[in-house]
Amino acid sequence: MNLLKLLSAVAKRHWKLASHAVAGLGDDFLPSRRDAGNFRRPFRTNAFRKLPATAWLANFRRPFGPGRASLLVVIGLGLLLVLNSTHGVDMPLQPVADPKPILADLQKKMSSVTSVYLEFEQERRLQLFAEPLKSQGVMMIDRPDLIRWETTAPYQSILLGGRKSVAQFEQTDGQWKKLKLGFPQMLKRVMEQMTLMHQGKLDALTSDFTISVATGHVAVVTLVPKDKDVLSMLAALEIHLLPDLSATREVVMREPGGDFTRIIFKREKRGVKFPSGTFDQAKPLAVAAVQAAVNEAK
Amino acid sequence: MMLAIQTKRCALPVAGMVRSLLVLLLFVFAGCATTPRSTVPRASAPADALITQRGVLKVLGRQFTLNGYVALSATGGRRLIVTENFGSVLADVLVKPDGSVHVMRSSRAFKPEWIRNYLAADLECLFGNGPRENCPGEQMGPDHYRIVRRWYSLELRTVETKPGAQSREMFDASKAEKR
Repeated sequence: MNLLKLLSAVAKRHWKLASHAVAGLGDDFLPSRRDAGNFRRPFRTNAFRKLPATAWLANFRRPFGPGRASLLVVIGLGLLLVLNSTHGVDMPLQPVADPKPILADLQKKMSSVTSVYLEFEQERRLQLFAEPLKSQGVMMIDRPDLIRWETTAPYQSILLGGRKSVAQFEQTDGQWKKLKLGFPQMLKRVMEQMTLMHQGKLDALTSDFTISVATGHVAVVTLVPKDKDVLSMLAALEIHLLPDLSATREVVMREPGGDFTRIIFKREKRGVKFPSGTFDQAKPLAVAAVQAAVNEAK
Repeated sequence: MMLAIQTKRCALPVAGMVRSLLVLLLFVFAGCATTPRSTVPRASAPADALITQRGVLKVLGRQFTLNGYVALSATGGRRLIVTENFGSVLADVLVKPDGSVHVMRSSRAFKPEWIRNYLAADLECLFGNGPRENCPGEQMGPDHYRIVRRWYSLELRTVETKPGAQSREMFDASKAEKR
């Protein structure tokens, strides 16, 4: 923090010269007093408008002139600031000794959310592959217990969850087909857990997971499965939230071998009134129609 | 590519009782099986590529969706990684150019024997160069295949093909999961 203040003070002292330097004006092209008020918008100065195209070249011919020095100062300061901010992003998160108050706060904040529409990108990162395996889709949750998880690319598939049942549809050759699911109870449990996570009701998951929280530039809630069989497939599930816990930005599913899956939430709309048929387990409404209704809503 | 699917007729003949009984017995024991007698054709794919497939596995009348990632190498072999909907790896198998099968990773859902006997066989049917007498199935569309075996049927659709050489590590059998 002190470093930032120091850099800010130095930057202010060098602002005048720096403005010219950034604009490529150098000492030869200092604007007149008339243009002094335009320092914050150097590209609008009259001096700049009159510059010949070779002015930048002229400055480069004497790289260590006074104007250049200012430019170097600004570049240096900029780099330091960038490095400082990057360092901030990479800074390790601080584990919270008692996660209960944070989890209670999260649940309180999420309790007002009656429905949510999220567009996501899923990245499957396997150590063997140089690039992640990507897919895209949408997730919709309507209180109290309706959920729709739809993959839209590179294939089309819909998972629907409700209080009593789950359903899955798969698109083949342009036609939707309802699947006769194996282990529907297991899928229902997964869908319930997803709903609870997005409603901030993490305390309801304590029987299945050990929950910890770390805070910093993001808040991360980590759930470690208690069941050994589940643990052999899923080492941890991380929910990355905004620092104020107001929204989920990312979910990371880590596997014991180091591979992981990231679900990055791109676009979020809350308090959506979903059109009828959105969660219909017999014939779900097409996602395009749902998106049109979501986009129309204010 | 047109493939004829042969099915058994389920009509009882009207000739003599004995003959009817024999036919009835055949009907009962064999059922009206619609198992294709045709052979699934090889999928068209570059020699070096990464192919993403979406599959629906049907076992005992129940359906399971799977994602399959197939890495192909002209010199290294073929590798299939199968994941469930949310990304967890269920099976990982490598078939070397000499036909040897290496189970790289297994799971509760797919035991090593299943991977060796069925997944590797299906992989070879679609992308291998070996004999094809054990590849019952059909092509249902341009990138849509169905493999039908006694215990299961598997519908596969190729949803993405990325041509290009894959890492050598991908085809290194020594990197198999220790068990």
